[in-house]
Amino acid sequence: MNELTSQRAAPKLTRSAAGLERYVPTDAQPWNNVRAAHLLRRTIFGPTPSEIDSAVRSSPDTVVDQLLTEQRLPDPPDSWVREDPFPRPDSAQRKIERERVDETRRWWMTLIANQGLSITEKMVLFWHDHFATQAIDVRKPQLLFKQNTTFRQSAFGNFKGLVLSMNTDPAMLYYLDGRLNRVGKPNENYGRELMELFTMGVGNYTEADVGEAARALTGWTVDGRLSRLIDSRRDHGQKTFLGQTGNWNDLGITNSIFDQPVTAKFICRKLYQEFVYRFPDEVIVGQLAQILRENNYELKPVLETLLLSAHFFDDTTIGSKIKSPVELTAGTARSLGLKVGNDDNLTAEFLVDQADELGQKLLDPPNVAGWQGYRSWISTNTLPKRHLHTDKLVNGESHFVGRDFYAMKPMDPVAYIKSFPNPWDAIALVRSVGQCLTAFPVDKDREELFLSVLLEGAEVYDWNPDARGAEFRITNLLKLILELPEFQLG
Amino acid sequence: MISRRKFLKRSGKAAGASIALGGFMARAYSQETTIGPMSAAALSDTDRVLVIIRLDGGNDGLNTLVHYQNNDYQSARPTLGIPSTDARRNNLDDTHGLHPSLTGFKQLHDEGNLLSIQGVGYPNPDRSHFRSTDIWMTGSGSNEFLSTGWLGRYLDAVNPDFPNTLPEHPLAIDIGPVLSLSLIGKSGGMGIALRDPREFFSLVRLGNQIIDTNEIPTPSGFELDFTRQVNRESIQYSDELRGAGERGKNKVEYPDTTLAGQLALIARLIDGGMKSRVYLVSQRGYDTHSNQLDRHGSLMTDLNDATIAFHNDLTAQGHARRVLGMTVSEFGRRVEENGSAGTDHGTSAPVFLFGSELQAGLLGPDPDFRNLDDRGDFFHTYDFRQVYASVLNQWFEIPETVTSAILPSATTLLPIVRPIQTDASDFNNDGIVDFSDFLEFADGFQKGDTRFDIDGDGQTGFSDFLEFARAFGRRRS
Repeated sequence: MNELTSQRAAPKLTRSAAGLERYVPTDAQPWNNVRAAHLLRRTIFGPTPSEIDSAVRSSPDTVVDQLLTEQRLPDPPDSWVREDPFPRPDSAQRKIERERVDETRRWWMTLIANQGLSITEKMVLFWHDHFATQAIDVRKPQLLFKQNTTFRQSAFGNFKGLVLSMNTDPAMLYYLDGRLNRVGKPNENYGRELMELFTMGVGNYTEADVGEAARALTGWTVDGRLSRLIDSRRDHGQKTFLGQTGNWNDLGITNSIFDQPVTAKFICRKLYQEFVYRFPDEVIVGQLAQILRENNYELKPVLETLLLSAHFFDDTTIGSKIKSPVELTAGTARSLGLKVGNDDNLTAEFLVDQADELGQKLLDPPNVAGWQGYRSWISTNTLPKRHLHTDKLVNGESHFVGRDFYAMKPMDPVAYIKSFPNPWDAIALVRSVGQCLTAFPVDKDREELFLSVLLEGAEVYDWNPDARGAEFRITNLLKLILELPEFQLG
Repeated sequence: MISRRKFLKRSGKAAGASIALGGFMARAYSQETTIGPMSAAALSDTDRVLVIIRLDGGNDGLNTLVHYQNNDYQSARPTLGIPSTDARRNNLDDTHGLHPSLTGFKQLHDEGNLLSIQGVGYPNPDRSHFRSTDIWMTGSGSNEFLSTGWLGRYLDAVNPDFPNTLPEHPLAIDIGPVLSLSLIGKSGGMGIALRDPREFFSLVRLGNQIIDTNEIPTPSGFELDFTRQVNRESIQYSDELRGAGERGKNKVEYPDTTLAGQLALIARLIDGGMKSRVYLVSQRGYDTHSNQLDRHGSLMTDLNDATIAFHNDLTAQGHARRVLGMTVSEFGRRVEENGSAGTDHGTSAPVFLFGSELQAGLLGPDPDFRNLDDRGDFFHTYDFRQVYASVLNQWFEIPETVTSAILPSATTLLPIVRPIQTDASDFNNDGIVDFSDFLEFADGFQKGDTRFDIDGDGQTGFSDFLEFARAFGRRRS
């Protein structure tokens, strides 16, 4: 989008003066619901009022420790994940493939929307965006599921290990033509993106390096749902890659790539953009890269340092991230306490389709560079659609879109506001609802606006959440807040 | 007296005449700037409107404006050439005819409502769709990369407070899924994109309950300003669009095509009082590498029927005088047809403008079939940026000092819009053309006094009255 192009150069802004030193709560920067919600919004999809409340009563270290605890792998969508893909699918099998890809999307969206207190789901989507792979090209659901599982296993594990996995990942071998890359007939598609998009960035290697990387990566193919090295297809000759000559294979060139200091910076810059702000602070990025290299590319120490830093908790950063469609759809549903499932408030299919409508279809990023993100998510076209979507979440009415039927069960608005500390105090209530749902303080103007919707001309002391008609006013307040510009930021 | 057409053709050929004419134009138009759009963001529903029809894919200019007496044309197009008998039916003169489907364009031409400019392109032409489209949208040179569009820069120039002060109506409306690069200004989009108005209206909610505070420019403040701005735009204009759409009426039947539907919507919005200055529509499918005769033929039919319906509608509504239409395409096509009954990417091609205020006719010499570039394409006669700058200067009454900032390479303007003879119509020299001038005019008109020969044709007649009417109400510099 052009908006983004014009913003590529970093704008002049008042940035955080704080560094990676550990955030220590002070009177000026207390550990309160604003900062607890900030930490949770950046690391999980849609924190709930009670999660924010218990984080405030806990400490940043404890919460980050919990967020970075390894998770068990979830149950797969179905037993077909253990079958080999159709070797030469006919049109009926193509249809089955498409249904299973959709099933994988719904399975994943359910995991996102019903997630627990872990950074895993944010990281899985981060890696999917980073190692972007399109189902529309790959088609084979088993391979897409396998790649998603690899992202889960390496969610905040070892970056080099993840890159090694991606070098021979079956879905990737399909998507970037690695399976066609053989001695004498090198295909540079993956070799180029490995350096340009996955590890180093343009300007840090030559066109000759691209050719040599392709040669080193020869021989891999996909056999069923696994990758396999066929030795006769491998290029056994000498390759000069990033200045080193040898009979390199995929491991050899990956070692060379990870010997370059730029590689750690590249991924740390992207992590910074995910967790802090679109325009990176290069000093911080350099320090994170140093930590990553000192820890042999283990990601956990980097994330731990960043998420507990004074830089991360600085006021200037809070509320600076434009929500992606998945954050807006699944995150909003989760923060309202809605459960996803066939007999629950809403179906995964509804969220998948809504996120798609807003520009982010799981398993189908627009191209190998992933989603453009940032301001491209918001336009005069998509913003009203975002409003319509949040309205649907609050209304919870089953409905048709075209011929698709979406079964929904409405939320309980009274139960929702009773999850806040002071639901009987109208002023305290609108303040805490506003601060839970948006990253911005509820100032006097906002407070009056919220009260006018909640009370509709009644006095503050008239407020009673159990009164008849309270429900309607709560839903109006929620719809209003979810349509505020600040709600689009997290 | 030489005919207007001959005059225009001559002026196009001779550089000296063109410059002299440019000077004349500048004088005639610079006087309007005090009451013109330079006076700020105040939009009016009597302002002039520009409607651009993009012919996406690269329209074959040679089969659109046919040199039907030219043997070089017929031999370059052995299977695709338009037979001279067909082109003659839509003839513009003894040697030029329009594609047989362009009967409405022929009607516009005969009524003095069509200006066909031959040979519009740019130096070192790029034959990539995307790149050449960007060049046409930004108004850049072949080796220049701009991030703003020519219309975006124009709208920036006349709305210096945008986006801090948002105009009451969108400055421009792009009837497409995303905003065209041509409408990107220095602060982002200068118009709105409108995929499907009904969907858009039903989505956008009532009630703009947004409170502005002065955020300090921190990252969060910066992004909040952005979302607020998009929010304001999307909420505010939905009401205006809905209102104009409801008030406006189409007075003719349109064909049932996408392009016609889009032009019908524009006519309805204009009639309903929408004050936007620029509208953009696109017609897709002009990349006719194969099977061109049928494909190009149906595109021409669609373009013709939609355009003539639009023109007739505007005339019936009474808005024709303030609407100028223009077709643009990223390039023309190769002179020589290819081996698959189609044509490949080429260079310059004609641009068409329609409306009642044009210096109508045929502008520019024929392209030279005997002097082609190394790919077998025409060299251009006019730079497309000259056309743009002339439209900005003569239609939107932007002084040349400003158009030269928007489009620096366009130093010579073309005679596109008929100037309004404000000075010549201010008989009592009181600075404004008003009723007192009319009384003098009515008196002198009967006596045949040559003081009232406004159009300079040597006699005082009804044509002078029409000129006076065009100037009525306007102020001298």
